[in-house]
Amino acid sequence: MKFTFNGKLPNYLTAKDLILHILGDITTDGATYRAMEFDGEAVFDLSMNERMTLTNMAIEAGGMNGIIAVDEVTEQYVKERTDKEYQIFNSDPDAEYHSKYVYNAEELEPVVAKPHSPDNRDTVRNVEGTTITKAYIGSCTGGKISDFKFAAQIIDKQEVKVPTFIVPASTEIAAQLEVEQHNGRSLKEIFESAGAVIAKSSCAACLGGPDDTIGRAVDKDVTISTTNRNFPGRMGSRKSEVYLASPLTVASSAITGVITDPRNFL
Amino acid sequence: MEKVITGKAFVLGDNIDTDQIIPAEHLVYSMDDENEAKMYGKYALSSVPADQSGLPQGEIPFVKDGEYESEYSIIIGGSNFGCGSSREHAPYALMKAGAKVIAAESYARIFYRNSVDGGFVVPYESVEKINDKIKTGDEVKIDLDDNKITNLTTSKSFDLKPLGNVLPIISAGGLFEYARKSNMI
Repeated sequence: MKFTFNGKLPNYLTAKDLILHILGDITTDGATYRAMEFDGEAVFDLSMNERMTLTNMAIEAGGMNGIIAVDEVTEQYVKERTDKEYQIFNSDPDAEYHSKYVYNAEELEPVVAKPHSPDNRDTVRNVEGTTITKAYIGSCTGGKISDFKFAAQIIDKQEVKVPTFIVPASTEIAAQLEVEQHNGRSLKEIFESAGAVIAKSSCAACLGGPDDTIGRAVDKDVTISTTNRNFPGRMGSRKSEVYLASPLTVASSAITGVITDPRNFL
Repeated sequence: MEKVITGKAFVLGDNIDTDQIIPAEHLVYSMDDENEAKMYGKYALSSVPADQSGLPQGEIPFVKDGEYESEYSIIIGGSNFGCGSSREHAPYALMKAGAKVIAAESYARIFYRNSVDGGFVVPYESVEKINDKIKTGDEVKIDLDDNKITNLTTSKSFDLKPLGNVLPIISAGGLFEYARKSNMI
């Protein structure tokens, strides 16, 4: 299956919006047993981190894999990590696809996946004002340094209104929080002075976990999260609700305490 | 492995994800210690929303409170069974609860391979939708030679897609046992 995003990605959208958009169109079994290839100017403009958000969430559509053709960004990423020789594989120019989806990135809106499925898409505008009790920026998909840079743009010099959890995907990313700067302050400083909790890097509450897991949804919590999944009970309590959204949308909502479109802050 | 499996059916809907099959809060038990491992049976399918648990009427727990095994040995599912987190504990928990076969329209690929590679349960794909033709509690028979499921309560039979190369792996007890038995390792 091929998903092409033409045009430039506006500053209020991230890769998370793109993949949630696709999930809304093809549903959670729309790519079962298939490969998902992402293509188009907006995709190739993405950083490697952001591309990983797209490809990581192919599994939410049942995909066997998510792939993006190799370009300079990919090659640079590989060369920074190995001296070994490698071979580049590309889709055949005359490859036949099961189906093709074409989007204009410039016309897309920030979206969420409403409870209780990653394909339950709606625009942020449509659910704006929904009260939340927790905000969560973390996990393999949503806790990369690029996610925290997005969040810091919004949270800088603000205070969060609901408990907000910053959970780096790895110890390497946790260390980067102290190094990466936005407007002269480290991301760590920005989040801490806003009142957010920075957790140790782990899966933490992305998959609920035992009662003492940091950020875990309890009772009727309504969490807005950058994680992958919002199935019933996924982040803890079976009575809780989870909205999946981009780090920009989660950060905007953390500041207001209600689901908020990032365009209000950018 | 026996060629004919009979038992009571437990019927579920579409998109049963692995968090519903075995919630992550219970992924704390050893699979090697029998006293701990039986807890996976106790909590199998414990997070399926009550109205979706045991269709068509719902509100039926797969495993009764305080018990470790289910009275249902055959699970009937819809499409995309086992979606979500990669988790070998999901098919393992179903096996510990006493499930032998799942018959569903389609599977999430990771769950399917985990079922096979661990030798936990037989993941049959049904040719047509069957979770509206079998009710929870119906006696069903699955014939592994004929690739058929028969609802003994209504005497109706439905075709299942042949398992191909995966049955010998499940029969051997999983991928490693299969490789050992075939002198691959």
